[in-house]
Amino acid sequence: MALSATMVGALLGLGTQMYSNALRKLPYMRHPWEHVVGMGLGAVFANQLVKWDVKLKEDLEVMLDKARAANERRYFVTKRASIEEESAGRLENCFLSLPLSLLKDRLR
Amino acid sequence: MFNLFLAVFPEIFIINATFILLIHGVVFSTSKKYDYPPLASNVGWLGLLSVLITLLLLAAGAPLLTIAHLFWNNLFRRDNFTYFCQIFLLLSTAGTISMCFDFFDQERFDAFEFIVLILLSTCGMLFMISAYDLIAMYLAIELQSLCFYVIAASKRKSEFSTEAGLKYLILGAFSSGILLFGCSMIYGSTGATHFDQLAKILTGYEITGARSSGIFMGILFIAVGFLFKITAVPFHMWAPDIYEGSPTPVTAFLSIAPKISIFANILRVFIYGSYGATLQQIFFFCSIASMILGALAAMAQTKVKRLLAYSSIGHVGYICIGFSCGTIEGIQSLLIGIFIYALMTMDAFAIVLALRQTRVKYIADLGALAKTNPILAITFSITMFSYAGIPPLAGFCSKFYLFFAALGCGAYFLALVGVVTSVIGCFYYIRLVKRMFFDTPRTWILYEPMDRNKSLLLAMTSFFITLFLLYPSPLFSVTHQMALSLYL
Repeated sequence: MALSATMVGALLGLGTQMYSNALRKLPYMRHPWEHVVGMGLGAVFANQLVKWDVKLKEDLEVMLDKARAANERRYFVTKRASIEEESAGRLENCFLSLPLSLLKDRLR
Repeated sequence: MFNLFLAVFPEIFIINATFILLIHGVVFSTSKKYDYPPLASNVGWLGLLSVLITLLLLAAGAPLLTIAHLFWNNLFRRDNFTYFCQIFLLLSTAGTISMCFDFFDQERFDAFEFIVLILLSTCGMLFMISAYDLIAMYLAIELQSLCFYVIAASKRKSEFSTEAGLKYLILGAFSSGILLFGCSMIYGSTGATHFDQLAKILTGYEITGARSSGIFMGILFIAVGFLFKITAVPFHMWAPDIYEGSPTPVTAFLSIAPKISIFANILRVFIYGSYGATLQQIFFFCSIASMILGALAAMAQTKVKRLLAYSSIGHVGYICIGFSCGTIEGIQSLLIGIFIYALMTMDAFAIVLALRQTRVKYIADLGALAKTNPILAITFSITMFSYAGIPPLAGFCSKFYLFFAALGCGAYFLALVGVVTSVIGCFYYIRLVKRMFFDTPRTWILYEPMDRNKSLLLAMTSFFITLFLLYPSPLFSVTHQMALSLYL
């Protein structure tokens, strides 16, 4: 992974310097030491970009987990509690409530 | 552990650098001993160095993962969104300053104050991005705007530049007044200026029945003030004249930097502070109108800078699609759109500056550029295709994501208008390409060599535009984080 990033970055750096020379209508390889500097900077940039991308994804996962947990706390726990209350209320109000309560007393 | 000094050190550094450069410029430019030297390039390089050091100071501060910090009496906020917006702003400023050096030599532009004002406006924009109160936001907007009024008129020997500065001053002051009026109405109706308090008061106010004409008018006026500053239709009238009359580096700066900071402010104030059906409708309308006008009006232009001005109006319309959605995907697509738009615009204006040396002003003057400088013609073509949204370039990716965000929230008409106006826009972008490759100019223009700064900037931005689609993951992740941190 690091090797491919280094190679791609070096190619990018070399390409940037050659493109810059071409825009100025100079020979592509004029001042070759600038191409070496470009390759070095490109390799460093590509490696740092890949590392940064990995870190960004990890940080994003943490943020999304935090958001998911906040949503669950806000909606699912409340909803669960309200479902339980509703079902309890439904039991008390239905026509089976009297025999059921008698059954509960018997079992107690 | 939050360290206040480290958090604001970038802003402190850039303010100090601005004042030191101002004193340096005043002392040495009026020095008889040194024969009154022109200091524009000298101050320019020092200004560029200051911006890069500020960028390093900002980047060196650890990004605040999931933790936002308020400071200075809760007037400012530092979080992921602020952090990355400021880095992006400083990169754009550095790119714009690097385009200016050849311009100073070619046009014999002697005003070192130009760079000082750019740095001061950058400082204002840094504060604008981190502002978390209506008062702080307004003061930062004014610091930025006042500098812009002056640099628009910086070419003192040009009537067009003076006219542009005067128009910008009058219309900009008017829009700032409307913005302040809106802020005062919000304060009068709610008693709050802090965004957290406004969020609690204004969220869902249209639904709960707590409607107030003061709140409604306040939000409307603030929206109008912001829409004016981002040159959205129907508040765009000033943009083409000012973009055309100002010196080209100023136009480049005006096209890029304020849009980043104003959109960041819009997201803070409206997405976080107050978001309702009325605001969404306003932005829907402005987005559609900007896209349509940007596409149609640009077709009639004969000058390159005016065409780019209308193109930027159209792009603001596309970017407002992301805001109109009101979803996390919408905000993410808005941020991606701004980033790619800024890089494309830097590329376009670097080319325009390179061509200005050869006195290219009209579209017709671009004829046979492919014969005199084929690589520059190819670079310009790539930029135009990217503006048009043709795959696999970066412009296509930004429009793709914006339209998908619109479809995701059910705004089918918005996406349809976006697609149709993109197709119409292809006409005038490809017309430029046709001129360069297939037409002959009215008068043959000799090529003058470009300087290294512009060529490197063009090379980097062109590679980004061309190769972005191969590795878009970092930008997608960072914009997703920024969108989430607005809420968390």
